[in-house]
Formats: sequence, structure tokens, C-alpha cells
Amino acid sequence: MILNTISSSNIFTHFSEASPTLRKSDNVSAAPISIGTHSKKNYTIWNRIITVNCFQKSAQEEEEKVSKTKKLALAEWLSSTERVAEIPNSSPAPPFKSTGTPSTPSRPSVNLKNSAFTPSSRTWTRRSHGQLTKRYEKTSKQREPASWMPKKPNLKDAALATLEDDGREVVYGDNGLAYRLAEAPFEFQYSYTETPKVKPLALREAAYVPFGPTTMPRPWTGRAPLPPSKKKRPEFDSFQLPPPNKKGVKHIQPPGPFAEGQGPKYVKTRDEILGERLTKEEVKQLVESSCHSSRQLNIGRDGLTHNMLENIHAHWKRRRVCKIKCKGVATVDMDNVCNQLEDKTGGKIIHRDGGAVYLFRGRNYNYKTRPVFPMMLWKPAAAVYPRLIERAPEGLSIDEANELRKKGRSLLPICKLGKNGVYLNLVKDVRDAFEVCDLVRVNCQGLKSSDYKKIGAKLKDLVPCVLLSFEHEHILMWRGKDWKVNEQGVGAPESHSDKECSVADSVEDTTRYTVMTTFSSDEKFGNENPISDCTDALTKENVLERNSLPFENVADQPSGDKDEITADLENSTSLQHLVINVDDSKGEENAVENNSLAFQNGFEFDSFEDKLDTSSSSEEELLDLIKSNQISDNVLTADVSGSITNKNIQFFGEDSAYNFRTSSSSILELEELVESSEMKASSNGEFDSSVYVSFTNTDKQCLGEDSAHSSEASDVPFFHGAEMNMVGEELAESTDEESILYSDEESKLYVQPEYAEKANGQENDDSFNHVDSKELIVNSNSETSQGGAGLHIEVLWEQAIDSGRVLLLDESDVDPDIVHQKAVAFAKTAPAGPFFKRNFSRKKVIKKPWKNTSLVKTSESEGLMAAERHNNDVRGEMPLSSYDLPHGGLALDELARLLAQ
Amino acid sequence: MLGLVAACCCSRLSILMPVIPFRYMVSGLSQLHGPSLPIIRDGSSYNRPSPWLLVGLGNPGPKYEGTRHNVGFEMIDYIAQAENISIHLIHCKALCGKGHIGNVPVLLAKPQTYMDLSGESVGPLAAYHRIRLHHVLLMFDDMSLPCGVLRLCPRGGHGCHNGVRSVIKGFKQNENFARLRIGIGKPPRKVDPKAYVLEVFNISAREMVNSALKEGVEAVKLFTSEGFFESVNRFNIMQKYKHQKIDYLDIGKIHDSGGG
Repeated sequence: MILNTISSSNIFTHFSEASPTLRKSDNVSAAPISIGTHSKKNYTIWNRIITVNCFQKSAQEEEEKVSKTKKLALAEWLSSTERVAEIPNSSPAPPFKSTGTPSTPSRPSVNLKNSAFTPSSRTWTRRSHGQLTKRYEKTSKQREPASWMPKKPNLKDAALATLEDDGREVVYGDNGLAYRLAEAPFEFQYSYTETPKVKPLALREAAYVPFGPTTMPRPWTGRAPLPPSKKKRPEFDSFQLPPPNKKGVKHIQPPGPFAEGQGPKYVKTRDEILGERLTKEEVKQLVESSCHSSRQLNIGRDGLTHNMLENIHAHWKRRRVCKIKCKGVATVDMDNVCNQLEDKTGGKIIHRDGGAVYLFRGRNYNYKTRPVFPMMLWKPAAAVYPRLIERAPEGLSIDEANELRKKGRSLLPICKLGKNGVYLNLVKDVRDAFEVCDLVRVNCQGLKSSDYKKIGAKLKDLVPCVLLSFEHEHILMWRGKDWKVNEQGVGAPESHSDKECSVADSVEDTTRYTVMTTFSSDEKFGNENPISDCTDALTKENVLERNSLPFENVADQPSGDKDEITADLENSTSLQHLVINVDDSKGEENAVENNSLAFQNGFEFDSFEDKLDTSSSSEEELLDLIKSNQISDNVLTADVSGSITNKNIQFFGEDSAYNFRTSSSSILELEELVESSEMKASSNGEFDSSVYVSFTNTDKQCLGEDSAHSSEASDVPFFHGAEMNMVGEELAESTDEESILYSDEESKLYVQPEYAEKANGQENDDSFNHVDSKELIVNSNSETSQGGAGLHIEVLWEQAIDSGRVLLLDESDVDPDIVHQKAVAFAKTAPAGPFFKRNFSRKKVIKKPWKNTSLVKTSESEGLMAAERHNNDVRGEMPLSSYDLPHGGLALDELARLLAQ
Repeated sequence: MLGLVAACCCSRLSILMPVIPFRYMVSGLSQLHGPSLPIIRDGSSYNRPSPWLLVGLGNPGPKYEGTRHNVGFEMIDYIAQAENISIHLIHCKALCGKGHIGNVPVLLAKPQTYMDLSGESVGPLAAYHRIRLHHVLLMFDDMSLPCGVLRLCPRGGHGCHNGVRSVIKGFKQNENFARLRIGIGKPPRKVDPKAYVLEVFNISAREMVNSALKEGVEAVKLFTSEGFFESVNRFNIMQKYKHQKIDYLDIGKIHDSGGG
């Protein structure tokens, strides 16, 4: 008998050849062997069997002698070498030494030992694919009969084939079936995400390592690969790109992105290849560049398979980002998919959107030095897993389980899964449903049966639950005895909890809130001691706000900004000192000028404090100051709230200071006043406005005037954003929504006289004295004095009744027809209600230049001017014309028009 | 409280009285995250929740009474009945009532404009009473939810509901008001959705909706007092899966025997 090849010379084929009946037992024994070690016991068992069989075949006695000697040799080898868990089937051929054939020794098809896994300087780089296929083709032709047909083995060769050197073995444990190769960075698996994490009971056929034809006693059933191309392609180096205009070369993205002056580096470790963390802008750019392209890798029901790793590298060869789309079973547990992707490829996931994952290759990625793994050429041997559905699971008796199944048949499914859909929320939905019901059913009609079984297995692990049946293409689950219902609602939507329910936010708000409330109450009653307290608090708050604004991080971490702010607070003591110093001088000035108003709201209180300390001022002065402050505060806050909503942005920085002067003086800044009063009327919730006022003021005081203007102007949009992020989205929305104004013509009329009176201290004009104006004055006053609460609504209600805006129905009028008719009739006569004025949109703030508008100077504003002048000295230069009050010419016209009506 | 009234009176009597600043900020802060009850009690003890505007959408007139589209009206009726609030005022084209749920002042409104023009009524109503938009709760029917299922949302879109569309328009494209969506189920095949919503409930659906409206009253109480918090999430989940529940009278027995 002549051996054709050597590669099939593995010990099992020897035995089967010697005794054809043994073949079965051979297969049976293959599985346990592949798990455990080859012990002497195993060997002896085989030997006995073999000898028995050999006796039956007594006709071949001559051959037997020869074979016996060889078996003995084999036995010696088996007993001598301590082999740990290796696959006996995979025996690449040693150098061929034929006993009688003239054939030349054939080389192993894939000499993994010398190729991909050699401990050379370039570990895990492999020969080109062409080379692999070339050999593969050659050997498969030769070897096909050899591995399948019983051939006379060469025992000597088999004995020499030290399997240990190859280091290949099939492992199957808790992670399912895996292949361990020497020097491989991790255990290879057919699928890294979809292999069940259960130890298989058995394999349906003998285990083999699917990396090459010689490694397994299987026939090659596939088509022969194409012959390799003769063209010699250079190894692709991602750092040395072909010139951009070269013909025949597809577009290749250069490595990167890099900062200016930096370039790619030849590095090895994963972290080095990834480079510095990508910034937000870079991520955005990378994702945008790839999200619309059709180059993508699809992950389906097999999950992330071993050969996909190579595909990902092929994508990375030309692109920085590989888009991966997952659908079907894999999307039940996307976190796992992402972890495996990052772990196995070495890339970094920069964006996830549903089933789509964007995998970045790293800044210093070089295709040439990528890790190369051998391709998996066969699907692995199917494993036998324990039953997914037990007849009596989790301590239930069979009857009870059947009872549950029976009940489940009439149950409404919680959702229907589409075929190859994206099941991202499935686990969460099932968990939520278990909060309410014991049994949950999921409709899987139209899915492949293996798919919903896989989904069921995943749910069993992830939820966790007890699977009851897959009847009628539905997954029926029971939550088990140990399920603890969370009364507080486990399944709270994360977005809500982040935005609204987060404890940190509310805590932060309450802290601020306390500050503000103490402030307001103290201010109201004019107590001395609390004032000092609250000034501290306020200045702190100011500085805090002011300092926290430049932090972009605040925008990123709305919930975590509290810490940051406190940190800022600590850092900002120096600034605070500076501010207080400035105020000291100003306070003196104020003390001299009886009627003067301070410009800076928050720092007004510093001056108070000074006065209290030095007791240089009388009580009257104090009272005046308090009053004036109150006025100024009022208008200021209102005004700034306006500026928050972007309408009054031009007034924001500079004019806010003037605005309250206007209010104390008799100048008609009607447009602004109307605006501000409207703002005030509508802006109940803007507690932050005061803080922001003081923020701008700090700016003004600390910086030179010009720079202050510029900085304010530039700060405005930023400030807007910061405000939104500081307080959280909800607040931002609330402020925005509130700043949608009620601007009726009427309301303008209402509001305006109030301020005119307040400012001028004059009697109301007759034209304003109709009911409505009175009504609104009361309204706004009541509203500002108390926080728009129940009383306010009652007052409004009463006024509505008084003013004839309301039609009282009789109690007997319950007939909807009559009600409707009356409503229609009444709507024709009643005044139209106030309307929201502006559209809800966050416009971009337009930087407005400094306006030198001068209109009116009055004697009353001179005190202000003096203070301003002093302030001016402190701050630096200030244009003279800036004393003049900014005004809207349009506003006057508008007022005139309104008055004329 | 007294101070408040005093301030109010003062401002009525003498207009020159300076308006107390920062006062309104106090209440504003407490309402940032929805709950009506301010958490902070400072020296002046401002512990007054801010009002809610509860609006139910529907079409006026007897013709549309009891139809699916008028579930919002029914919800308001249920609330009014439960809280003893009389709705007998016409204000801003809406049938209004004022009252309290717990200690939270509420305005109940049933716009008497037709559904597609509800915004004409709701917008001015909220504007007149100075109610912040996140304290507006709109109740309306929703075809995308199964019949009798409620859902409380802090904000959202119009969901192709013309009434909500109009209200959003009345609020100048601002969608940040809360909603209580009342499921009416999808129309059966070949039924025009417009006709479906203007139909009267069938008997089984009526039962489901009635029980849902009772639960809705509780939900509204919860929502107005606590805002959008965990309990509301839990309410939503309970509602979402309430039809998946089956009668498990003996499941306890199963558990017990299974445990043994």
C-alpha cells in the first residue's frame, strides 16, 4: 500500500484503516479527547480495541506484525509526551519520509507555524493572501482523497508530528467553542458575539481547527479557489500614500486626524495607535464623512464573525472610520457587540446610532502593521447545547409550568418583532413589562426559528427571566419567583431622569434658591444683618456665575456642573476681592450722594455693607438706597430677562446699566420699558436673571469699559448657551417659553403707565385710566410681589370677571349646545385675550455695535451721572456720549401711535 | 402670606410703591422641574404652588358628545367631578372652571372653539393667567395608544392631532407643555380615521375608557402635585402594559406550591 500523502497521517485514520468497523468509535471518542488530555488510559483502551479487531482480521497477519511494531512506537510516543488538550485531528505534516514511494515530499498546505504565528519581529503579520490561497489550492487537490479515503498511515510520521508545537487546540468551555492558537492574542471563535455562553454538551462531529485544510479530517467540499494573480502588489503602507493623481489607485484617506505639525507615528500598542482622544469636532467630522457613504460592514444573525475582523481592516485600509450596521439578533445586546468590536479590532467606537456603529481605526493606524489572523475557512462543528426550555423550569412542577403556558396562550404580546429588525429596546421593554405582569409574550411571527430562539436565550440572560415556550412563534417568558417589583419605577426613561428628575440638578437649584430667597426677603425688610449675609452670598454667586461661564464643560455636563461651580468659587476669591475693592470706593461715592443709585445691582449691597460697617450713613439714606435698589433691581432683572430672550440683546451689556437709571429718571424709554415690563410680567421663573445682571456688571467693573463692551458683546451668545446648560434644558425652555411675550396693544398700554408712574412719580395720564390699565397694574404688581401663585390667579380671575372678559353661565346651563352658542356669542363681544407674541425659536445672537445714542438728559439723572463718572474713573475710559441714554426712536413713535388711538 | 396680600394691596392703592424685586424668582425656581410645591421655605414662607392649566380637547356641541375625539372633555369632567370644581365660566372662548387639586390651584378648560382652532382659546387663556407652559396639561385622544391606555408626557409633538397642532400654534410653536394622552385604539381596517375619531365609543371600549379616565384623575393629581417624576414613569409603565396583564388569581398558589 502506498501512501499518497502525509498530511492525512493522523493517528485516528491509522486505526480506522486497520479496522474499518472502528471508525464509528473513532468519531465518538474524538469529542472527549479534544476536551481533555490524552492520557495513558485512553491509549490503552484504544489499544485493546485495536488488538481485538486485529484478531478478527487474522488474514492479514503479516501486516499486523508491521503495524504492531508501529503501534508500539506510537504507544511509546503517546505515553511519553505529555500533551495538554490538543486536537488530535490537526496534525500538519512533518517533513515527509516515505518508506517506499518515490514521490517527493509534499509541503503542508498552510504552515502556520512558520507563517502567521512565528515569533518573529513582526508577529501577527502574515503573508499576503495570495500566497495562502495558492498553497491552499495546491494542497487541496492533492489532499482531497487523502484525508477522506482510508490510506495506510505512516505511523512514524504520525509519531513525529508533535502537535504541541503547533499549539492548536479546540477549547470549549463556558464561552462556547473556541480555538486556541499559539501566540494568538485571544481565543478565536467563529462568532464573537453570538456564540452561546454555555458549555456545550457535545459536538455533533469531531472538533477541528478550521484554519486550513490540513488541520482536519474533512473533505474539501467547496469550490477550488481561483489561482492567485500573477501581479505583484506592494504591501500597503498607510503612511506612504500614493500620489493623489496616480491612475488606478482608489482614494485613500491619510492617517489622522492630526493637529498642526504632527504626523503619523509607527507605533505598536493599541493606545499608541489610537493616539490622543478625539475631540468632539473631530468625531463629528469623522462621523459625518462616513455616515452617508455606502461603504459599510453588515452584521447579521451570525454576529461579529472571525473573518469580519479582516474585513474591518480592509475598510480601514482606505477609510478612517468603518461604518458597521447591525441588524437582527445581534442588536438585542449592542453593548456586547461594541465591546467585542473594540476588543478584537483595536479600534474605537466614536458613535452609535441605533444599530449603526462607527469604528475609528486610530490616528496612527497603519494597514501594514495591523494584526493579521488566519482566516477561518469552515464553519465550526456544531455543538450540542443544553435545552433552552425545560419542561419544568426554576422549581416549577410540570403541571405548573403547563398552567403558565396555557395562560400565556391568551396573553397579548407586548410587541411584535420584525424580521431582521433592530431590537435595541427589547430588553428594556421586557423588563418594564415584568414590572407589571408575570408573564410576557413577544410576537416573533415571520422570524426564523433559530432567530427567536437566540433572542429568547439572550433575554434569558439579560433580563433575566425564565423561558416557558416558543409556541406559535411567540416567546413566552415568566419573570420567576424572585423578581422584585421596583415600586419607584425601574424603567424610568433615562432622558427624563437626566433632564428633569436628576437629583443633582434639583439640589443645585435648591441651593441657589436659598441664596436668592434669603436675598429677596432681606431686601424686602431691610434688615441689617442679613444684608451682609446675602451680599456675601450674592457676590459669591456673581463671581461664581461669572467664572463658570467660560467653562465649556458646563455645557457638556449639565448635571455635574455643581462641583465645577464650587471649584470655581474657590478659585475666584481674588476676583471677588477686586470687585469688593471697587465697590468700596463706589460706596463712598454713594454715601456722599444721597439720591444716587448704584449701577451694579449685586455690588450695591457691598456698598450697603460698607456703610453698615462704617455707619457713615443715616437710616434715611439706607432706606432711599434700598428703595432705589428695588426699583433698579426690578427693571434690571426684567431687562436682562429680555436680553436672555435675545430681543434686547443690544441692551444687554451696556444698556442694562442705563435702563434702571431711566426708570429713576423721568426719561421716557418707552420701548424698553414696555419691553422690560412685559418681560418682567412674563418672566416669573427667571431667578437667574439677577445673577446674570451682576455678571455683566462685574465684567464692567473689572475690565476696562471698551473691553467690557466687547467682551459682553461676545459673551452674550455664550452666556445664553451657558445659562441654558447651567440650569438644564428644562429651565432654558421655561425661560424661553416665558419670554414669549404677551404683547397686545392693550398690554403695552397697561404696562407702560405703570412704569411711567413709577419712574416719574406723577399721576397717571387720563388716557391710561381705563379699567384695563388699572387691572394690569394690579396684576403685574401682584405678580411680581408674589410668585404668580394661587393668589395671583385668583386676582386675575376676579379681574377677568370684573372687566367683562368672562361670561358667567348659570348652573342650569349644562346643555352643551347652549353652552356653545353662548360661548360663540360671547366671543364676538369679549375682548380678544392676550396672545403670545414671538415664535419659539432660539435665534442666534447678533453682535450689535456699541450705540452712542443720546436723547435726553434730565436733572434727575445727574446723580446717576456722577456715580457713573466715578465708575468711569474706576473702569477706565468711557465715551462721554455713553452717559446719554440709549433709546429706541421707534418706541417713541410707537407710543405716540398707541396714545393716539 | 399676609405680607403677600399686603404687598398686593399696597400696589393697588399706591402705585408708586416700588415693586419688590426677586420675589417672582422664588416661585419660578420651585417650578423649574415641574412640581408645584416649592421645596424651600424661607423666612417669609412662600409655600404656594403655582397654578396649572388643565385643558381637555374636544368639539363643542351635543353632536360630538361621547365621541372618541371628545375624550379630553370627558377627562375634564371627571376631574371636575372628583374635585368638586364647577365649570360654568366662559373665558377666552373656553368653558373654564377654577379650583384646587390638593393645594395646587388649577384651571380647567374646555375650549369651545372647534378642535382645529383650540389654540385660539388655549393660547390666550394661558397668556392671560400667566401660566408657564410646563404647567399646562393638555388632554386629548391618541390613536397610537391602545384603547384605554394613558400616558403622561412632559412634552412632545402634535402626533397628527389637529387640536394639538392648533394649541402648539397658539403657543407660538412651543411644544414644551405636558400632555395626557388617552388611547382610543387604532381604527379597524378600511375605516377612515377621521370618521373613527368622530364616532361614539362602542360598549367594550367605553368601559375601558371609563376606567381609564378614573385612573387619569389620579394621575393628574399625582402629576400636578409632584411633577414629572419617577412615580409618573411608573404610572406610564403600568398603563402601557395594563392590557398584557391577565388574571392571576392562582398564580400565587402556583408560586407557593412551586416554592415547595
